[in-house]
Amino acid sequence: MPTTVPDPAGAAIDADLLEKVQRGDELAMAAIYDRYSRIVYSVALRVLRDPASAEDVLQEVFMQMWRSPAKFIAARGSLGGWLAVVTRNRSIDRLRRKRPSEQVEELNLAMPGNLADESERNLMMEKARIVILQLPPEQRKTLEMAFFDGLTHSEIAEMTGDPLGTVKTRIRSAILTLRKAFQA
Amino acid sequence: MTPKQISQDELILFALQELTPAEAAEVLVHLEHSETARAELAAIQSDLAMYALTSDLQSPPALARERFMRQVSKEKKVVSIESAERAASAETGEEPMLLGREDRVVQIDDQPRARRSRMGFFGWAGWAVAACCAFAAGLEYHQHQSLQDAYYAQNTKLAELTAQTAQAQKVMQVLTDGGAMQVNLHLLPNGKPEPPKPEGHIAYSADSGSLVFVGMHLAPLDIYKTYELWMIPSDGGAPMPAGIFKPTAQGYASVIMPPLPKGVAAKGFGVTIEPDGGAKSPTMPIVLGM
Repeated sequence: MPTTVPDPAGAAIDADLLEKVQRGDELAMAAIYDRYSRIVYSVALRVLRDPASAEDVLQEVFMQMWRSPAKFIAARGSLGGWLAVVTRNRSIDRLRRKRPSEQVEELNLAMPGNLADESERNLMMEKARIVILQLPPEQRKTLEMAFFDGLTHSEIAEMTGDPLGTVKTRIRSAILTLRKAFQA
Repeated sequence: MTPKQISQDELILFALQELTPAEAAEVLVHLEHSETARAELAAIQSDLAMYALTSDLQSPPALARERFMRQVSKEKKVVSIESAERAASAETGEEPMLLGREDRVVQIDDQPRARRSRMGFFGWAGWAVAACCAFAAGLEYHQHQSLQDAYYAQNTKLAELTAQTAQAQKVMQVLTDGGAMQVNLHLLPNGKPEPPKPEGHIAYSADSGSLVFVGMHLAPLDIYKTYELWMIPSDGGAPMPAGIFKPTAQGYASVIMPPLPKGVAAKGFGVTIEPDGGAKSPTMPIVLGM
């Protein structure tokens, strides 16, 4: 798990905004949208590769927050990270034409930094990209197929001709390498 | 259910939503009992969130924001109506999902058409009463909306009045503060005295950074020019702008509570003539000063 804690100032702003959203404050909801809509839209677009569908997911994710802000308490983690994961899952559900799953919303993400801050976000993104580029190509490709293309491990094994165990190992290794890089 | 041990690979599959509902349920049971597993899953989700950030940043279309905010406004009302319905069913003890649809359908199907036509006057009267009730409810709703609008308008007015009162109280505090610096500004000795003499009076409280300036008999200004008041800090710092003003036709002007930092002791004050909008530093000469 990354050892750095979420940026306290960013987290405090998010907590304050979410509290206001819970009270039905539309302006606070607009502020959260302005802080994170680029992250949500970008992740959805990467998965779905279709601007209209990505926009639909953007609406769904933020409407979910408007309807049930209590599902996420900023003190428990990074709102930006949570949104990125929820968006990926929603987009994959859409690809698989499944009903949206709710399991992720309960999680506590211990992400470093303030993703609402553009410079900090760019720095983190750059770091993540460098780490990904340094992964062995087969690990990088397998993780991408699982995360952004929404393919199951079995589907990946079938497509690449690799054994299922190898696929699992590659994904696990890639995730752990990413973690180590951010712990450093 | 006895929780079975869950491997890191299974947690990754769970995080990637690749498990079947039955497998996911097993993982959930294990997560309930194992703090270590919860921490590991949170770490995996954080890693994946970081990976998600490798996507190229794209801005959503501007219209998406409008669409979202429209939906937000719309759903706010829907939520309140639903809450009201829930509250109503809670009062009657009914379970809307269980009693609502099927029972009503059965009732309608059980009523023969012939019997319905025998409702006669009372039947139609019932419908009329229902229509009146619906109309009254609509009227009530509109009245409620109007009252709500009036309430918000009053609230805004109240907030404005409160702000004005607070400002007035501050002014009073400066004017009545015994420790406030009281200064009279006169035409400088090298100026040409003309009756009546331009003069200015300042009340300044350094602790709160509050200042009130009143000027009289001030000469009219050229168009695109303004008077600017300056506070000269006692620590030798640069003069600080303390407000711009234009005199009335009678030569009267005032500056009330300009934005000044707290705790800056003043060595003196001065008034200069500056281009409209004010300047960053005073332009000589000082037309009023001490």
